[in-house]
Amino acid sequence: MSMRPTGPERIPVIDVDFHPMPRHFDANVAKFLPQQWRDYIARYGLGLGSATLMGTPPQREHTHRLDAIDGSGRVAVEPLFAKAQVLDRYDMTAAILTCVSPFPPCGPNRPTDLGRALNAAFNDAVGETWLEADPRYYGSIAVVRDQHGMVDEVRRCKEGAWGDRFVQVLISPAGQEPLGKPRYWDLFEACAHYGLPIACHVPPTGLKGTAGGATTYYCELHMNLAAFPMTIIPSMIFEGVFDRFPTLKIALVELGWSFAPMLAWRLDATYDRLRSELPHLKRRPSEYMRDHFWFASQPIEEPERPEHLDGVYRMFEESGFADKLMYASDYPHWDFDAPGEVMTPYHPIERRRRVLGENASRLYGIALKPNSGILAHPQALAAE
Amino acid sequence: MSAATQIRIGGARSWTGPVIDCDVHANVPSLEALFPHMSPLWVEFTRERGWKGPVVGVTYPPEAETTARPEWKPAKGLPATDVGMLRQHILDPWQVEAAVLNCYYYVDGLRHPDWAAALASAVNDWVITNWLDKEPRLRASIVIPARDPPAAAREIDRCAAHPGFVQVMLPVRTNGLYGQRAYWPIFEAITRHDLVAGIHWGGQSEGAPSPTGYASFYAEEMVAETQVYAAQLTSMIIEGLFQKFPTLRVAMLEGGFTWLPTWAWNLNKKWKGLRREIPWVNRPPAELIREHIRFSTTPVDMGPPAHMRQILDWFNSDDLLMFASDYPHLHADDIDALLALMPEGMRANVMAETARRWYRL
Repeated sequence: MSMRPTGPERIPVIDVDFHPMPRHFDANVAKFLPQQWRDYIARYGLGLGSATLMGTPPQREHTHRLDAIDGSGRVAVEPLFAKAQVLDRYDMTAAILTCVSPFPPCGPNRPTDLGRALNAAFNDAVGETWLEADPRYYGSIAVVRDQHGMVDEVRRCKEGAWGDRFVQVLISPAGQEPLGKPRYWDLFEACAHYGLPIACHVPPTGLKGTAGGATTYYCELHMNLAAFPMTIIPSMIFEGVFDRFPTLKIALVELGWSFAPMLAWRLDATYDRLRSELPHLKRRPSEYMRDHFWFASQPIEEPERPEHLDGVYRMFEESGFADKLMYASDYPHWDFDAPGEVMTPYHPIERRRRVLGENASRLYGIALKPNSGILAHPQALAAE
Repeated sequence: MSAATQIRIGGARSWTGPVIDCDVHANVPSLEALFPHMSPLWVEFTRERGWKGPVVGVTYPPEAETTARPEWKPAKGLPATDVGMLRQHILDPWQVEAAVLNCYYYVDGLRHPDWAAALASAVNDWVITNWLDKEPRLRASIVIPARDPPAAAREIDRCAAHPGFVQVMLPVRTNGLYGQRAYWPIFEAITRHDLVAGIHWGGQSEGAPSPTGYASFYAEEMVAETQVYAAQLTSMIIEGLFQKFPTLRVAMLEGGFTWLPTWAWNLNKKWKGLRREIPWVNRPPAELIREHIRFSTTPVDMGPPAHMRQILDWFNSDDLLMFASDYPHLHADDIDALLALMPEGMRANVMAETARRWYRL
């Protein structure tokens, strides 16, 4: 890659959804497993199961974009390959690694101690393999939802070798109960203690794929990801989670964002009718939503009529969410969004700066690198 | 403004044109009321067991404020149990030209397949005798034993001869999503009789009505109910239901509509990226929605006027919404305020013309 000139105006970029994809049998993961569980896996193998997920084969083995295959023959195994393909190419300030590899294989369908050990091994592998490879990589502490010991894992990672580089906790958007329920309050307390946002990202580890059971097709499964916020947001607000943990911040990643104003109206309209059921709330539901939820851009919104695009963003901004939308690439998946494709020069420069870098910089406390990122005026440069 | 002052007692005051109400409810006053419409076997079954009728599961508390507007509650017993109340509360004061009556009675809450089929038949016959035959402005939905598609198709065949039935009521909560092939006998019967498939609040899925367990609060369940409707809509599109049954007309009732445009764009996008897996979906999903699905106005979930106007604009159609009072339920809907945001042609469609075409009234 050629060096870019330093002159033209640039927009700093933080990517909040970048997936390392280690597997439990990789040496860099297995080395962190106690011998007992290495023996167990060698003896029995490890089903990767989640019946609701495995029944709908994705479009490719790793749901990947074709050019993301690295030297391992898989995708997002080698941090330097991914660095060149994303971090360097878009001159990013940071990428928040969202390694969801533990979610299906470490769930409640395991001996509890195996699930916990494997979960920890994945987090350690992210630290050793990825966080060590480039200072611009930041980690998420993946916790397997409903697994005993979620809080212990947060503490272990925060107080371990890469503690300062783990900037959030990562959890599945669906579990045995809605996310506001008391079974998750210990986790929220730990996050509040360490000042960590919680990000929700699939795969779901709940009891079924949709309210009406499993989906038939991958396309359908993928579409229904957008339904998870419809349960997460009302549950957390109505359970009073944000009065109990006023500093708690939730990032909904790859779960959509343009729905937020409409969901806020529905929350308030329902609250108006059923307020007697919710006497414990101190504020209107939409106010909690505005203050406590962040959203990720990918997959980029595509209105039927392109002229509606600006209105989608404006409605979101005018509803109080302007500082809540963050750029996400979803590397190395097939529906990857490049920063310049998400925030084209069509958008006002303030919006481009907020979405591509500023909002994530504030949420994660990562300073944007001056004079870095993508070109603010690519056409002007091309014309020179 | 307090919640109470937002609630209109009556229909749209600003609208003087025709009104068709696409969703009013009837409650069966007691199981005994159905006995005249049941064979002696099922009456005996009921009496032997002291059974009081199917119960709605999950979170819904029967005395929630939303169950009935205070002025629509009778001194004794359930609201909406006879046609006189409906005339007095809705049909006369709102000058309703026609209303579609939905009497769900939680039929799929009863597991015994033969008994459930008999119960559905009894409800349908009770609706004919006590509502359709008494009030010419009424049309109604056929209730079905939704857990048993072949039996459901037989019940549709049995009832469809009565001209008052214009729709089949499909509870939105199910064990399987409606687009799946196991349900196709129901849609085959619906289209054969040129009826509407009305997806309506209700039903009992196995376990919680969400992918992530039970809601604690009824308000929570209500806000989240859009995910159930959205999953059903998505299933119907992606499974190719509208290619298999090209004349199928669906009504989504009591599921809101503000979530629709961005959901439809998202569907378009997934289809564009992954349509090789579902080659029968031969057109963008948003187009299929406009051609095959309509939405009741309840609940409106009103946002700021300028933003609501944008939502209506994003529909890319003035022919998607149908007015519903949702009698006797309480919604905060201000139909006047909603109509004020619409161009004239859209208002007439919402208040009557879309439902007239959809239900062939």
